[in-house]
Amino acid sequence: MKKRLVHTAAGNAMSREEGFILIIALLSLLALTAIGILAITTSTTEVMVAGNTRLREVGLSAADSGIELSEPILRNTDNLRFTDISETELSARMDTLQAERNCVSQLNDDTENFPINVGGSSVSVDIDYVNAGDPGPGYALEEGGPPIVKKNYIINATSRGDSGSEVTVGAVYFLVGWCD
Amino acid sequence: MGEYGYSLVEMLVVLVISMMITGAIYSAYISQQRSFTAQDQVAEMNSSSRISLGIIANDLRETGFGLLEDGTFNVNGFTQVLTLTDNTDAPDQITLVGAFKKAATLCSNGSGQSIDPDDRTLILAPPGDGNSLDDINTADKRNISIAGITYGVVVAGGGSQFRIQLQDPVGTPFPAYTDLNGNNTCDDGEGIPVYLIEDHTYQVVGNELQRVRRLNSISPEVETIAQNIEDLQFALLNGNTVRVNILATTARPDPNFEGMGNPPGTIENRNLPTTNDSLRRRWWRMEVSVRNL
Repeated sequence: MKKRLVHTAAGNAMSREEGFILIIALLSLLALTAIGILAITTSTTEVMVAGNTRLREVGLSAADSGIELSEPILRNTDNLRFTDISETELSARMDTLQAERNCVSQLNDDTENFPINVGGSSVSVDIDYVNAGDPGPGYALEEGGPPIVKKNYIINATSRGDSGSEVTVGAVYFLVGWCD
Repeated sequence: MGEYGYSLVEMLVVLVISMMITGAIYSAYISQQRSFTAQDQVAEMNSSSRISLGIIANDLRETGFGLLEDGTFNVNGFTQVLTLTDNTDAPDQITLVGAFKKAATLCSNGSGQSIDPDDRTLILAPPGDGNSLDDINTADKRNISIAGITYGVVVAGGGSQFRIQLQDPVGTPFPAYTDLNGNNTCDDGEGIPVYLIEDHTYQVVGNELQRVRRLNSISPEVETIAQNIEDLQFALLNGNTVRVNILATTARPDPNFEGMGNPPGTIENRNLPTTNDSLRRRWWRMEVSVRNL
């Protein structure tokens, strides 16, 4: 009789404790999951901000190098060395650029004259001839030669990187020479 | 009957254990809360000062754009591309002049033709789908640059009048607009860009880093670009490089933090006093090449 009572009491207590622990465990799990999700969300935002900053810096440097490269392109088109452009593509682009070097306005032509690759970013460099004017005093050329002019160009270099990032750097260059 | 209740000892043990658990949770919560408050302020200080450094660096890169010619200019009283007030006991103040903003598109000369060097009358189109030239007038927004090539002073037009007149002839020829969308109207982007030449002054007033546009004009625009900035120092290097320094602090002191936090002692030519104000600090420094200087 006594033995049976103890059994019953133990059995009741056990069943109560099992349910209690389950609820506690579920609640703790819920709280921990909430904290975990919050922490991950915060750090994800931080990572995204850092990633954006990196993309911007990389894109700016790549686009800027496109601007730097256009100076030798304008000065001397024949000395171009671009390994990532095929010969046919290069000669087609050269014709466009040659026209612009010879003072033919291409301002509204959105042809990107040169695609280049800089450190994993693809950069499109668009060189547009704007106008030519008097270079002012200090410039001279042999007698009887073509009139010397200051040719103005607008250059836009757009870098396209990872995750659809895009950075454009614009510049105005002038070149003193003559129009063919 | 005794088997159905808890004994005094059991109750005391339970109370002690639960008090210990509550105490542990409370102290963990308090320390987490303090850490969160401090880190929240550090993050705010870092991002706001970093953004303002980026704004200043961007402006420095564009400084002098549109003023390439050797001629003289006067933009709201500034006749130099870069004006630096170098202080040894206070934050510096710098004024940058350049074509920072696209204000319009050049369409044609006054008679709808391409622009000759002798032309002074020009027809512009407002940026975007706007219906007035908000960034061009004959008072404090009269200095413009055509394509970054020609500098001009507007003596008539602007606002709702798209026909403007320059003080001097443009000097170089420009092509007329190309009707890309075929609507027989000159729209934004169909011609040469026209920029507004502005003066941007950066200064620290109180603890706010401010950018003032058109400082000496009738309606200067003052914008706060960052709060809790303690110092702003510039140094000119090698003729065309500018080094920018920004010293930022957290908004409120952290009682658990002692010292200056990344203490610089000296920034450029300024000696900073040693303090023990429990503020965390962040010192940003960047060298920018000003190509048009």
